[in-house]
Amino acid sequence: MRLLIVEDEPLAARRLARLCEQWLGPGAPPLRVCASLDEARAQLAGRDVDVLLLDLNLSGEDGFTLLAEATAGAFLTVVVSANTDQALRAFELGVLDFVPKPYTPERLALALGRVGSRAATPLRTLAVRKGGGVVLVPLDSVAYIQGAGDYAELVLREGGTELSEKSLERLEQLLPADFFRIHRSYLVRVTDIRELVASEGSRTSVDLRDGTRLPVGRSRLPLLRKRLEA
Amino acid sequence: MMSSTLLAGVLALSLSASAAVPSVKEGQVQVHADDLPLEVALSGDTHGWRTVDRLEVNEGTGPFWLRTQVEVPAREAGAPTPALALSMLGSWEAWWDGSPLGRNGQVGRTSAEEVPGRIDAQLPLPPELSAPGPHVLTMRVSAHRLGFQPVGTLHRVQVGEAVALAQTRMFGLLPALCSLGALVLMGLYHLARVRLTRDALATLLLGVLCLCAATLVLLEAWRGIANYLYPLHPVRLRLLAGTVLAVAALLPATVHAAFGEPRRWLRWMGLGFGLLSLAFVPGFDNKQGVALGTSLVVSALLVVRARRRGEPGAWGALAGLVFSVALYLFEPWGFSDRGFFLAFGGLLLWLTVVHAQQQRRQQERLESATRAAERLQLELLKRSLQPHFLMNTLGALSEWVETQPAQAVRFIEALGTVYRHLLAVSGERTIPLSRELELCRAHLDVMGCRQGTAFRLKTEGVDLDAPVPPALLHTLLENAFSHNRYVSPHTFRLQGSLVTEGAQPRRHYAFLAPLGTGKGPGGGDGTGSRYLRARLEEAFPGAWGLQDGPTEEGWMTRVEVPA
Repeated sequence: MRLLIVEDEPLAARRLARLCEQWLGPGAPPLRVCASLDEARAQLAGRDVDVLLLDLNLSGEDGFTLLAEATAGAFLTVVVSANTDQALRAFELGVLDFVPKPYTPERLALALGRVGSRAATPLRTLAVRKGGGVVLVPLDSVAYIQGAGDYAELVLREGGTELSEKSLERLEQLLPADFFRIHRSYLVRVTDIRELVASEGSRTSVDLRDGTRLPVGRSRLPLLRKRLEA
Repeated sequence: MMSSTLLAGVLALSLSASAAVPSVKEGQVQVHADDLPLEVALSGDTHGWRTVDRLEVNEGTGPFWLRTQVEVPAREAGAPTPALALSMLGSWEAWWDGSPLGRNGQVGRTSAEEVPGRIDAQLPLPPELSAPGPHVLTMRVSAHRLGFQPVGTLHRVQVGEAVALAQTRMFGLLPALCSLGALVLMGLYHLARVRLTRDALATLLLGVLCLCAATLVLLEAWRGIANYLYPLHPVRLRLLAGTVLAVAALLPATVHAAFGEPRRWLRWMGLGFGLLSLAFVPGFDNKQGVALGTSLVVSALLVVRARRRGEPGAWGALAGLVFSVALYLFEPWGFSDRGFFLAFGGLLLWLTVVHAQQQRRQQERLESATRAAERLQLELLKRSLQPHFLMNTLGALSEWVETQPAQAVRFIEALGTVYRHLLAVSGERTIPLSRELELCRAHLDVMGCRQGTAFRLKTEGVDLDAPVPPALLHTLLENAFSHNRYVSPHTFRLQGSLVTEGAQPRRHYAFLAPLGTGKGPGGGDGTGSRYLRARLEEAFPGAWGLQDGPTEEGWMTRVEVPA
């Protein structure tokens, strides 16, 4: 796991780095520490960061602007902050976890442990980068999500698409549980599925309520049937 | 037969008298300046008698003679025999239709021989000479002890039922006596409050004004209550005039103070005008009338000005004044002994109400100031508990505890110092600068530990005992830390200077927060700056200055307060 720590206070950064190193154990890729998101941008642009540990003073509005920008990135974000009253808003932006300061090594381990499973609180908004800024896409407006290599395309109910820098795998961790990976390239809300359709050549598809037909991966069919019958 | 002849004679006498002697009803009396023998004075002879206005009888010390026709009013059968009420500045003997009626004091040819009479007297009429119709009253008068030149010495000649005459006098006193208790109470109430209120001058003047008015009432009532000897009358008149003058001068002064009139000369205008006009106005009643009239006009002028300035309560005072002026115009010369008390009672009541309202507003201001002070205290404590500061500090502590316990103890010590100071000073209006510097240095210790570097606060030219609002510099430090990253040692500078030019010496402070890295300089997110301004206003109301802005070296904040 490749970690980047953004923390402007030397002592706090030292602690975060020390505890992460303990958790990762020897042989892990080296930790990188930056004092601000500005400094971190170059590192993040390289798409070789899996998890960003971000300390933000979320008491002001600009903290959230930075957070939206961070969550629009390809990596997963864990917020480490003193402003616990802002945790809910942070989760809505799509962070993997929110670690309130001061924290114990155990609490940090719990956050890092979420990487690869589900987020502490599923997101309701997806931040995507668009035209030099960040656009927040409400999850309700997304019809389904189609993978596009390292990126994911959010297909909107109104028509049109938005491109997320996160892969389908990472999105799956952040999205609520009713989003189901029906195929290597598709994430669909289970409640949006009208019926399973058998098409030619033992292929199976789903018809969504809006009439869209999407393919279902063979390996994923049994699990999908179980979900639909439940 | 005998009796009928007598009756006819009496009738003839009375008729002849009525033909020759002018009557009180027409407002005229006859006077004779010589001390005539009794039989000549009663003979009806007109030689040497002058007719004068009843209210302008002034024959000097006397003894002189006076005669006039007095009407006995018709009365029901069985009604009591009427009495004659006389008010005369002098000692006198009286005859009624030629028969002796009675005396008041002892008429004398010299001051030594004279025994002073009382100011008011009532004599019962002889039953046989009390038939309805005109009768002749003849008086021998001396007034050696007047001591001043009155306009007239005869004030009242009236025949009526004794009880009714007494009642008339009582009714004359009634308005004054009614307001007496109220005036005394109001006066004492305001005087008692002088020490307790902030608006001491207006309260004091209002109290003295009420007591002056009460004195006026007492002086008015004194005649009816004590029925003093006539030489005391001028004494009472002078006291009355003085009191009226005091009231006339105090009224505008009170209005002036109560409404915070900015122009001082207006306070003296009423008094000046009053005194000027008094010099040229004859007669006590007229002087008083003019003085009170002037007083009302000047007060009204002041209230109108207060109304224009938007002073609260001006409408009420204006209403009271308009009422008084109306009563004054209705009866300018009798105003000081009748309308005055009605008007003045009303006016004082208004002023008292206005004053009470002002007091309440002051109380509210005080309370809101107290609330503001509590809010500021709370705000300071809240800021020191800000999650960003507190949680990061605790996070740093966790790190020390896990890695360098000895360092942790030092850190806890610094933190304890910060909070100890904050708690101690948060409720104060001002604290000595030395205390503020201790708080700042403790805060810099904590921040230094957290940032892994050292911060210093250097002062120059400051008076360590000078009062400053609590957390003044502390807030500036916090602002600096929220806008800069200081990862290397930095020095904050405070320069003080005392400026003694002008009327008030002032202290100037210049606080320099050095440039670090990060967001760059700034005056804070607004809450810090708001807190600063509110604290300065609380400590030095309306007498402080605050400017800040970027300089080459960093963010400069200049504060100016009275020394």
